[in-house]
Amino acid sequence: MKRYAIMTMKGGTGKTTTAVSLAHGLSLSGRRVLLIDCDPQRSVAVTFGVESPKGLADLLTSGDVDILQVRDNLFFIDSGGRKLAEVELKLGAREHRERRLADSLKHLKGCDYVICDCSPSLNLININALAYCDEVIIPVSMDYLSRAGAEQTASIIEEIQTLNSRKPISFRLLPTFYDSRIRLSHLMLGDLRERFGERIFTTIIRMNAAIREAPGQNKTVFEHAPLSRGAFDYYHLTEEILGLERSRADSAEAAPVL
Amino acid sequence: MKKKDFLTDRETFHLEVPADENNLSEVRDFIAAICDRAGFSKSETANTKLAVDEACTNIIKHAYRDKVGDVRIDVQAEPGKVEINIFDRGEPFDWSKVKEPDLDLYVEMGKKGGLGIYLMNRLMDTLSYSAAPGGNRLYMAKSSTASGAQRPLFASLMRPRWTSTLRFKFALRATLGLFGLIVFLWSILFYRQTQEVRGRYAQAWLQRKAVAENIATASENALGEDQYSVERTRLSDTFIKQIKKYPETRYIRLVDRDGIVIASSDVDELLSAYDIPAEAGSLTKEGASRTVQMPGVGAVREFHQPVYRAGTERANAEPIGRIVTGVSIAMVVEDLVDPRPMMTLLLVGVFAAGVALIYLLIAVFVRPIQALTEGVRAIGEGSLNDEIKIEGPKEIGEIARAFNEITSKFRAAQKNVVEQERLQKEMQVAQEIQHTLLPKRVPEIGGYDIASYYKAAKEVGGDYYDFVKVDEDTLGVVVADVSGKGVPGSLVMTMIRTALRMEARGNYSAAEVMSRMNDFVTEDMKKGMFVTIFYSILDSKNRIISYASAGHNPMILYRAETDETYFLNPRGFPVGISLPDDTLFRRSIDVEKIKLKKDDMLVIYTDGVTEAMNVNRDQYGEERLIQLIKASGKLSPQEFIDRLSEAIKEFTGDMPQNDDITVVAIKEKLMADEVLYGIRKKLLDLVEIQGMPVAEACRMMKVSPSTYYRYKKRVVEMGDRGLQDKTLRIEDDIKRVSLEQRKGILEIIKKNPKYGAKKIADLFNEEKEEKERLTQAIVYDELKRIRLNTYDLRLEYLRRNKIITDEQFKALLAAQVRAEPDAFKLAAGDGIASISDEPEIAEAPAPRPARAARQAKLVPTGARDRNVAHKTEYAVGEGRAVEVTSEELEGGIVVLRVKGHLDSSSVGELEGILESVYEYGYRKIIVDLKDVTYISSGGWGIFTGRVKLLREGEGDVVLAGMSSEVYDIYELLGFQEIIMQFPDVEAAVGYVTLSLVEREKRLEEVSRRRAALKPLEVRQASESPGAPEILDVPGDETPWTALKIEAGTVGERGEITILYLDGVIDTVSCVKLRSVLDSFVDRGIVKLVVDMSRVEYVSSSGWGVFASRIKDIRAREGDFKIFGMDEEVHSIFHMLGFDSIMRSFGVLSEAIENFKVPSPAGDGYEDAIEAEALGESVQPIPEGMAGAKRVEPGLAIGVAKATDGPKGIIVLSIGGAVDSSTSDELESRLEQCLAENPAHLVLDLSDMVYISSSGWGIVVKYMQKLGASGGALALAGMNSTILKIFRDLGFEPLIPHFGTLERALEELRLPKNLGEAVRKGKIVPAGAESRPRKDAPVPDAPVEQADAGQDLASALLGKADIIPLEPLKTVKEEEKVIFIDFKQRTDVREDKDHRIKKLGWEEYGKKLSESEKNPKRRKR
Repeated sequence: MKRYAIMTMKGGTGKTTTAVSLAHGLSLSGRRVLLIDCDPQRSVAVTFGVESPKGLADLLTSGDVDILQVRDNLFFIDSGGRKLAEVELKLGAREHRERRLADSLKHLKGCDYVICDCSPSLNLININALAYCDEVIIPVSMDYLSRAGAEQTASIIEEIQTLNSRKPISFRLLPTFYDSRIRLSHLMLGDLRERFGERIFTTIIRMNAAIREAPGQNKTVFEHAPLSRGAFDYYHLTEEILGLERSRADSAEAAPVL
Repeated sequence: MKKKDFLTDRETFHLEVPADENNLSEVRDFIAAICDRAGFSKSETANTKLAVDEACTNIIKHAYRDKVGDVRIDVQAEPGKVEINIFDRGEPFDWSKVKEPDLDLYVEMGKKGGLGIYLMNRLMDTLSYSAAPGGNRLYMAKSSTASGAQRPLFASLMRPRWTSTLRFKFALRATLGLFGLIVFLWSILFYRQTQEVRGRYAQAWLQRKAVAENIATASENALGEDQYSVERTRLSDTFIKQIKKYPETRYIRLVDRDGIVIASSDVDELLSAYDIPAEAGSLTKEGASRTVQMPGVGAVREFHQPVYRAGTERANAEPIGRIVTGVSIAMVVEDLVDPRPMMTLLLVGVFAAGVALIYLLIAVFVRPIQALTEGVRAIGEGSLNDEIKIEGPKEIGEIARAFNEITSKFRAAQKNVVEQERLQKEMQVAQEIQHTLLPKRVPEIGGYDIASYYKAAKEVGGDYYDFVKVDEDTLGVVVADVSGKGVPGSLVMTMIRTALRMEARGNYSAAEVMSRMNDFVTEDMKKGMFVTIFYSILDSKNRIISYASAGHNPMILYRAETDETYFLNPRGFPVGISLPDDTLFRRSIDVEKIKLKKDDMLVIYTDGVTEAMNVNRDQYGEERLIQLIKASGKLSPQEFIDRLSEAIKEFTGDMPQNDDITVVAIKEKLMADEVLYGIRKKLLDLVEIQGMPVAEACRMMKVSPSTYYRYKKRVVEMGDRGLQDKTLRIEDDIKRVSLEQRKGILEIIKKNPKYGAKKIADLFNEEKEEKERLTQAIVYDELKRIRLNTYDLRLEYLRRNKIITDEQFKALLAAQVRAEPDAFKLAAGDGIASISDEPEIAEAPAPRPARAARQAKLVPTGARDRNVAHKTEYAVGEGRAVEVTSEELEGGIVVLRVKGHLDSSSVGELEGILESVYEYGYRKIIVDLKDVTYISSGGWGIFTGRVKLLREGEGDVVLAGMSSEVYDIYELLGFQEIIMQFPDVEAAVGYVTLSLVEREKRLEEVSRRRAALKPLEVRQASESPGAPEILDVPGDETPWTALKIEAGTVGERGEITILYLDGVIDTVSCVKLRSVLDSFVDRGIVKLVVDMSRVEYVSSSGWGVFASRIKDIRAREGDFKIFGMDEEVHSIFHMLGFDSIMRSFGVLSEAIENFKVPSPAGDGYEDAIEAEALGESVQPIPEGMAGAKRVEPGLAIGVAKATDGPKGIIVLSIGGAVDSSTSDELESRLEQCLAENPAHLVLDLSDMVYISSSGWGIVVKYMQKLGASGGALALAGMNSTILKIFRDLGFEPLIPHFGTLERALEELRLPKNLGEAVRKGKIVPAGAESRPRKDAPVPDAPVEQADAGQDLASALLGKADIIPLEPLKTVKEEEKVIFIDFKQRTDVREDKDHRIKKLGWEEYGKKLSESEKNPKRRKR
């Protein structure tokens, strides 16, 4: 089971879109995916047009949760909206407060991927998500502020890494809102590649209207415009992630073991 | 505090109430009000109230006996004192009957009341009573201890009257001073100015006079001239001018001799007659003056200046006229400004300013003092948490600082006190429990008079005595001393009590009872603890006392007939030592029997009596005890006991005792003969007069029928006398030497060490009467008993008593061995001659330990070639009871030189040192007791507790250089068979360098010799053929031992100190930890690493200690690291947020590493051997975590590959703790290793602190996985704790394990060996014997087809993934495990678009690529 958190400190870089699209992509490819909305804004829930009384907020506090099946092989835990914001206060006093999510989902099995869609801030919920996940995907849109947010996120992850006694967390950057017509996009991408090198997905999510339209119809990009550029990009992102997994599994030799 | 109207003067109050109990409250209120006004403190008020209440109650109850009457109370009160007279008209009371009540009795009987007078006496300062016909008067007086109102601490500072304030006093004094100064100044100035003014006044007049004179001179001509001459006119003008010039001059006139005004400033006057005043009538040359009143002008001074004819000689000439000048005095005076009022005013002003300034200054100075006062007052009122703000001038600041220091110390002290109180409370409870266990009273037992005394030490003691009814006529008396004190001691005591009560009933053999007790308790007793017991059985029918001793102090027999005392101490081990041979205790314990004669007394006591110490640490000692017994032996037991307790009290004074004092004294009340006579008589009566069948009568009287017949016969032969004939009694005279005789013998030995038993007996019997003579046999017996039966033992005795020096001793010994074997033989031969069945110990004397050891020294030192790098010095603070220094000798021998008292307070010290010496790997320990004056029973325990452990490691603990006092106890406890002792260290060294087998032999010999030395009469009991082996006295750590703290420095990095903690850190033990930490900080040891791996529990106060000291330590550039915390402790550590204050580590090496400057990550570990130390080096970076730099605290995993071998061996060094938080990491790491497809996997656990059961589960899982692929998983370097768990879990046959990593690698590298190992069943192919573990049950035997050649690894992996699903069903509600059940989902939402589904993912991908290439075709 592979656990991803989609996270960056900058808002509007395509976190939710990436989370939803990637989750759906993976589920379409036949993997069982659990998508957890860690954002009180409930963007994911809105995208799917669902609502559940017991969401992540309840999971963290009482351990009780509804898991909705939103598509074939795609399962979803709602954030709980405002309740989630309050949870943070409640958790504040608890033991192992940063490991609540990990503890709650300790026995989660039968699922190939877990994807957490985080909110653009450093709060306890996000730290919980970080403590639970093994890899973080940081969407970066092609502008300076976004890059700053990504760097910030990367440093936070590194910081948490030293605190976390459980296991290493790695992260990868996903360039989004790439517009080949704008010079800044080229500049930023080059810059990011220089700065993060290997840690950037080869897939680039380009600026695409279909991506933005999809949530309006409670659809993912694959459903809304299966042949759009957005669907193409997210297909490749899905493939890249699957490919990483395959290569990891297939050639243990190739990976620098230990 | 509300303002009270305190009494200022003596006042009288009255109260008269009817004698009724209902009025008591009124009386109380009355008294309370007065006391309050008299400024009594609360408690004093309450006390007075109570006393008056008591008095009135007595009057109502006893004087009036509930009849009608009045009580009058007169109170005379003044500040701080109250005098109370209580009058009544009831029955008078006989005051003489009053005596001090026995409080103990009250307490015991629970009697209430009757303490009234005692109470009044105690509560009031004076108390007197007078009874008169008119009524009775009870007078009492009470003064408040602090005169005036008794107020809390610093009271005078709190409510000062303003006149006594510092400010007032300062101001008053300064003002007075200033006033004096000003007055002084003023008087001087005033005097001077008065003088000056006077001078100026005179001068002014002189001036006027001079003017007048001038005018006179000028007028000379005018007078001579004509009446209307110009001269005259001009003169008048001149006068007028003059007046204008000097306005004070009112008039000037020239009068001639006839009194006619010739010229005048006033023209109207001219030629008028001037009435020459009488007083100025005759004018001298000097002129005259007078004062006249002039209307409108006031006083005018008139100068009359003679005018002479021009050119005449003035001396004789008559003046021809006179100038009269009138000067207004007022105007002259006006001119002369008087400075004095001004000056006075000025000085008054200065004074006023000065006073103001003084007040101002004082206010400035006093303010900080006031602030200080406020602070101190706050402290006085009990708020210790306030700090006084330090400001103001330096001195005040200093005071404030001092106060703050005091407060903080006080606060700390208070905290301590609270803690100690708690501890004391616990102790008290233990003590109470213990008291309930002690017998309430001495049971009646026919014919014996028994008394007991028990006094608990300040701690809960370990003494115990009890009386047990063996049957109706038989009483067991037990006196025991548990080697430990406190709660463990009393627990053991309880055990002993239970065991005794269980075993004693109906059991007439003291030895048997003791053996059974030993069997009963030994298992459950803490190792190193033991109990010495003296158990005697009093048979009231047969008048025989049998007794046995388990290493207890001897019972003292006082024989009144001869006035001699005897030590009765049969052989026996202390109870509770696990001896190697189950029957050894039983075999070794002896029973002796005795009959008491008239006035004989038996005294059983514990070492608390003889070791009672006074302030100088002198012990009460046996000598004094015996003296006392002799002096008061003829008293009744109770009287004797009273005397003894008094004597001890007197001796010890106020010194708190460390050990309980227990004494039981037994005396024959009836003479045995009388009792027996009575019994026999009754028996004969029953049979012959009442006609009872013999058998029944005998049963009733509990005698054998043969007795009946025997006495019947005697009666027939001798008549009634036959029943009491003493010749029939069993001869039970003590066959041993009394203490007095022994002294005589010792004296002889001291003079003639060569003498054997016969010569001694002869010498002794000289000048002795027949009765006191000793036979040779008895003397020999005694010599054996006191171990002086051979020449060299006697020499040794002399040396010990400092009669001969060591050199002499050696010389004599050498001489004896070399050339004088005869003398030696003679000495021993005597014994043989008289006691034929004695084994020939004299013929083949075992070489004395000392000698043997010296010979043994020639043997090359032990094969063990330890190169112990560090020599540790334990500097123990001065002034403590015990001082220990250690010295390391070659061959891994360490000598601990102990100095001082080893009592319960100081034993811990030595114990800790012994332990740490052990931890450092020393196994051969010699304890030099040369300078030890005293060892308590607890002290002995620490040696016995260690012997086994040491011997297992080829080591030993040996005692050396015991003084004779210490030796006596050593012998008494029967430790010769357990621990070897030598006269000096040298000999001891010789001994420990021998091999274990040889040492065992030696010990065996000693024990055999001791066995042979048993008293004659009970020899048959212990003719033991089998020699005892090493005694099984393993050291053990029970969880309840309090905190043990040891310290050591790290090898070459000497600056880092490691603190090993063991046990629990709670409110009690944290005090110790704190003091240790403080002493370290004080000594400048600030780089501390704390080993918590053996700490089971840390209370909040324990954490507090760490937190409170870390600041100090960091301030001194040190630091404080904790490592090896277990899961629980760490979770609390984490919960408290301590991980933000200090760093914790999994293993020691990490913690130490952390002190150094972080060094760059070292890599390059090609070979597995090098990987041993990997626990502390940096792990390689696995994929996707390039940023990881440090191993997380808690678990450190290092990995290395062995390069050789077919597929290679991977070594995983796992350090730290594997618990639920780190097991995932271990698992993932193992998974990664497995992915390498190694031949074998070795887990090096040498740095492992802790591994939880889930950790073991993981190990087993991977063992199976590896086994499936033909490899093996081996463990290496487990420490004993982990190994124990490993074995307990039953993994030993499953997983091969090796002592060291090298060994493991060696074994695994040789495939042949491995195969063998597998064949032997050491390494089991995966799954064949897998045991489902409790916490992770494998539902359906997971690996049944393990040998089917399938891809087992993946099968296992699959299974492993399934496993967690199973426990879900059993998981409790509250665990809330999330898992997705795909079938049960009902809220499935249909996909919005099925196009992709229909296409399939791959196809869709292709289509997408197409559309990307062909943007035009892109459609919805």
